[in-house]
Amino acid sequence: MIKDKKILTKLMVLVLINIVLYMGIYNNFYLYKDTIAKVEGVNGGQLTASILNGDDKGERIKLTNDYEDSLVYDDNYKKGNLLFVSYSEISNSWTIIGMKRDHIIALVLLILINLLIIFGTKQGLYTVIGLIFNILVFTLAIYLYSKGLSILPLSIVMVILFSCLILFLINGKNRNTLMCIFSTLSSVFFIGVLSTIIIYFSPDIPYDFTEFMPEPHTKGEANLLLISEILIGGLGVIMDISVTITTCASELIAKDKNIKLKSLLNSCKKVADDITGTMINVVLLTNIAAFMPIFILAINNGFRISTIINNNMYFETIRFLTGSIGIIIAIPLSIFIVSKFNERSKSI
Amino acid sequence: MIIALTISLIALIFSFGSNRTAKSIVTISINFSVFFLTLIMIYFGINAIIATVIGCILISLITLFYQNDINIKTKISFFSVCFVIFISLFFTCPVVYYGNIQGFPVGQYEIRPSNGYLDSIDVNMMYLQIAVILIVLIGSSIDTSLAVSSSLYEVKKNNPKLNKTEIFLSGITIGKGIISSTINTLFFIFIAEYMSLFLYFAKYYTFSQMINSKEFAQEVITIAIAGIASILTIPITSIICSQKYK
Repeated sequence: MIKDKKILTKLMVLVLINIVLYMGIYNNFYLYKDTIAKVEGVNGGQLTASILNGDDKGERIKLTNDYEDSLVYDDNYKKGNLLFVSYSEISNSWTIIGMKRDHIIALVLLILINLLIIFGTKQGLYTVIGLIFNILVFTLAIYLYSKGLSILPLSIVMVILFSCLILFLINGKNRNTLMCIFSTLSSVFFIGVLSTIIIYFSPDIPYDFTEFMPEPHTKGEANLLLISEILIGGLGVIMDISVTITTCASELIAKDKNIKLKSLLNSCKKVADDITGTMINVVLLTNIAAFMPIFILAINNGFRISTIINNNMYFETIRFLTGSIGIIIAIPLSIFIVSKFNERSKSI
Repeated sequence: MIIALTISLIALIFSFGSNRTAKSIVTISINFSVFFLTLIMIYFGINAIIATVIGCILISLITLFYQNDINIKTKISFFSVCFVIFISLFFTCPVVYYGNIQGFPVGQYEIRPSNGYLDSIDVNMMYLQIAVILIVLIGSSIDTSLAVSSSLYEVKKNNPKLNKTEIFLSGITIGKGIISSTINTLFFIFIAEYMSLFLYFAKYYTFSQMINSKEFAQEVITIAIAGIASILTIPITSIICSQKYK
């Protein structure tokens, strides 16, 4: 009973923290210079809203929102949405310039973090810490890029930092972690080198269709960005496989010190078999899902299917393929590294 | 480039993988076809959510029952995944609806009416955005669910005396180890996918513009919902396992 009470108090505290955080982000109007208005009534394209911050606080205003039913480029604002609005002296009216989405993102992230902590307890908390640290590293890298550093060296440093941190958080500081880091980095290195060779020997990469490509760009810069994306995109699954295989191989070696490399390879392959299939599936689906809206829009505008796939799906396919190659190559590389480490410790 | 990479992948699978890994080439090809079938269904006017739910169920059927065998572990996983899809719709729909995260944001200047992408089409982008989220979450959900149900199967085999609550609790414990790797996998794929977007943000957007922009919201919400769904898969699979493993 006492334990139940403790859990209940903890849950109450968690819920309370969440409500405070969410309300804080929802009501952060004072942080914005732009005028924010809350939609109070919708009548077709005519909205009535009331202003929540600034000099005109409390004023009720009328807004017009034109949108196409398909909502390809437009938004259908609903009652309760918060909008950024601006006043034009010339037309003497208010116009919508955007929507406030920070609290919606915060809500979804809060749910994720809570579930991680409830179901993952300590490990979940470490995952959250890892994510926050990774986001900080990534933000710093982007900042350095905007200051003129090249993206590929930055990405290589990021890959090393990400994998060291996450593997330390998962495994703790021990020999196993060191082996995991080695096998992860060598697998990432492998897909990096492989794709670099292929990129420089393949003629036409349709960079013009890359979304949000910084303009203007040269082919060389675009190549570096593509290689960086390949390195980082494969990192997650490669780490996952490396941890599983390294643990498995170390356990087998601990049981039988004189195990042959070949039988080690075979036993670990059985373990790998259970996970590679579904893992490649995850990489496939996660990469290609974002392609759906573009496909539907393009095909409805009379583009040929082959054109759409060649142009808009090119990079998704490449990241899927390199990620899968990473999964497959991580298995023998992990086993190889574990056995090398062992030979070394034996000779000492 | 795609051809060269595909050849490398298949060559590696045959040199390092076993027959079952080779089987995954077939699974992936079929899943890819199902994905296109879903898109074609949407194109011919079937509601995007309904078409995608059908697609997701087909993908789970193939991944679980063809890639792995038909047995109690995969059956339990299949039911858990279906249930996860069902629950996910309940929180995905309102978030997409109120967040207005469908379609193409202003920053995406390749996809504009001036480039031939007119917006007077019959498909509603809001449903399509929900479909994107479903496709992302199905992969990690299948992965998590199968990992939990097979581990619990071994647990029950080695300790036949365990009661329902004990099986459920050990499912949650097993899940702890899986959560972090799944979240990391999703996180890195998404960072890579949107790397150019972040470089774009750094160049043209202020911080407050970024966190309120549609492109940022689309990305973060999609990955977060996929993470939520895969965490929810753990208790759901554990409950079904505790009922079915006797």
